[in-house]
Amino acid sequence: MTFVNKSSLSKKIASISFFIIICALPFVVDRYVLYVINLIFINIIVCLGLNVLLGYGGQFAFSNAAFYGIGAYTSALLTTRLLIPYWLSIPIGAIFTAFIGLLIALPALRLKGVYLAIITIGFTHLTLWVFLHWVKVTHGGGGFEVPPLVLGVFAPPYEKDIYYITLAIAILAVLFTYKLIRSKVGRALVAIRENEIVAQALAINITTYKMIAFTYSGLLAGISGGLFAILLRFCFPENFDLFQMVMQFAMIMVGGLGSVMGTLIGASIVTILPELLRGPFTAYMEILFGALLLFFTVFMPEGIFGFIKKKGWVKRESLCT
Amino acid sequence: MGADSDHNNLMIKDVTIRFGGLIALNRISMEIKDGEIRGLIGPNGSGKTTMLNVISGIYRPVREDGGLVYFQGKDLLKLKPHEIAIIGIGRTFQNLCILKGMTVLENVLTGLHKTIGTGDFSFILSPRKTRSMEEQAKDKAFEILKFIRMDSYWNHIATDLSFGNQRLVELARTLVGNPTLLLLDEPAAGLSEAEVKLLHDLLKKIQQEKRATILLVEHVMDLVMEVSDIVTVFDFGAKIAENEPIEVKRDPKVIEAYFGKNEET
Repeated sequence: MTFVNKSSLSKKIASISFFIIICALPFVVDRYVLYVINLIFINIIVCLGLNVLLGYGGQFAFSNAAFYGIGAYTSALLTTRLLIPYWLSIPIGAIFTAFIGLLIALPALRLKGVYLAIITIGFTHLTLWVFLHWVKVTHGGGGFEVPPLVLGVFAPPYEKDIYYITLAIAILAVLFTYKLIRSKVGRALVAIRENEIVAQALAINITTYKMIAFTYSGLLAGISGGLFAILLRFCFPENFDLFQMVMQFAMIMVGGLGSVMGTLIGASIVTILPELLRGPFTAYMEILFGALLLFFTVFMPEGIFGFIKKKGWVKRESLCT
Repeated sequence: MGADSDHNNLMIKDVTIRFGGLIALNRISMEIKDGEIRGLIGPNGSGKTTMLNVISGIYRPVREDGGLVYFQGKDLLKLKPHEIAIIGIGRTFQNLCILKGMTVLENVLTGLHKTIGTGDFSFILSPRKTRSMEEQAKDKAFEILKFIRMDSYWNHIATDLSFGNQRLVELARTLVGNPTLLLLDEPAAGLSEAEVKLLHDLLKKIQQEKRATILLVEHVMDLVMEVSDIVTVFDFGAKIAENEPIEVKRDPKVIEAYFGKNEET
C-alpha cells in the first residue's frame, strides 16, 4: 500500500510541477514560441471534438474545418461589427456553431462512410464560398483584421492574455471529453462506430448519439475557431478550407483515433512539425509532411498513443469510470 | 404482468418478407408462450434469421402484404429497433458482434445502456448520481459475468478471447439488460462440444432463473432438441412443422427438407 501511495504522490508532484511550468511559460519563452504553444492548445480543443465524432463515433465527416471557420467568423464579426466583447461573442459563436453541427447531423443520420464524407466536403466548400462571396458581411477573400483579446492584467502585446484563456479552455475541454467518453455516451458512440445494428439491438438510439457527436464537434470547433481568429489577429477564408481538414485529420491520426491522450500528442506534434521544418526546409515542408502522414498510415495506423499502448508503456483509456 | 390474454409473449401473424422476387418469409404465423424455449430450425436460407430480423425491427413487412407482430400486446411494427430493445427484446447475432476496442466489462456495460437511467450529460449536472449509477451498472455487469463464469476475464479486450468465450460475452451483454424475450441466432455455431454443453445448461438456467422466453435459431440439433419446449421448422420461407421435439424429429416433411425425398417409395 505504501508503494502505491508513493507512486501516486510522485505522480501528483509531477503533474503539479508540469502545471506550474505551463503557467509560467509566457514569462520564459519568446512571442513566436508562445504563439506556437497557443496554436497547440487551440488545435487540441478542435481535435478533441473531431476525435469524438470520428475516432469514437466513427462518423467520417469533413465538416470540422467549416465548423472551425464558422466559429472564427461568427465571434470575430460579432466583435468587429457589433462591438460585442469577446467574453460574449466567443460563447455565442460556439453555440451557433454547435447548432450548425446539429443541423449537419440531420442529413448525416441517413448517410454512412464515403457518402457522409462527400456531403460534408460539400458543406465545407459551401461555407468557404460564403466566406469568400458574402462580401458585405464577411469582407470577402481578403479577410479582415481582428482586435486582440485583452484581460487587462498584462501589458501589450496581449499574447499572454489569450494564452491563459486558451490554456483554461483546453484543460476544460480535455476533462469534459474524458468524462463524456467514460460515460454511457462514450460507450454508445463506440457501439455505433463498430456496428449500428448491434448498437440498436442494445437499445441505443443512434439518432440521438450521432446528433450529440456532431453537436459536440461543432461546439469545440466553434470555441477554438474564435480563439484562432484572435490568436492570428486576422480572419481569412483560406484558413478554413479542405487543407485545414487534412491537418485536423492528420493530428488525430498521428496521435491516435479514439483517444483523448492521442489527441493531445497528435495536435502537439502536427502543430510543431511544420514550424520546425521552416527555414532551411521550407521548400520541402509539404513533401516531408506528406511523408510523415504516409509513414503513420502505413506503419502506425493506430497512432502514437496506440503504439505506446501496445508496447505497454501507457495504460489503455477506459470507457467506464 | 407482462402477459396478454393468452399468456403469449410473442404473436406473429401472416408475416411476409420479400427481397426483390425472392420470398424470404411466406405468410408465417407463430405464437410463443411466456417462459417457453422455442427452437427454430430449417436448412440454410429458410428464413430463420430473417424472422429474427423482423422481430427486432431490422426488416419490416410492406403494408400491402399485411402481417402482425405483437410482443406482450405491443405492436412491434410501429417501433424502431432500439425501442424494441428497450421494451425487453434482446438478441445476439449469427456472426459474432462483439464490440471491438472494448473490454469484456465495457461490452457488458454497453448492454446496460437503457438501464443507466441518467441523462446523457448528467455527469456535469449531477456527478454523484452518475457515479453511483455507473457503480450499480458495474455490479450488475459483474453479476452476469459470474452467471456465465466469465468474471475473471472482465478486463480483457473482448476480441482477444477465444471464439467460444466471445459468444458468451455477447450473450452476457444481451442478458444483462434483463430481456423478457431473448432472440439467439446460432449461439452454438463454432463452439466445442464442452462449450455447447455449457450453453445448454446456461439456456436452462436463463429460462428458470431469469424467467426469460427464448427463441433459439440453431443448427446444432442435439442442443435444439434437448432444450426446446416446441420446435418450429422453416423451409424456403414457409413454416412446415411445429411440434414437440420428438414429433418434429419423426415428421416426414422435416426429414424431407433436411435429407431430400426418399426416391424408393
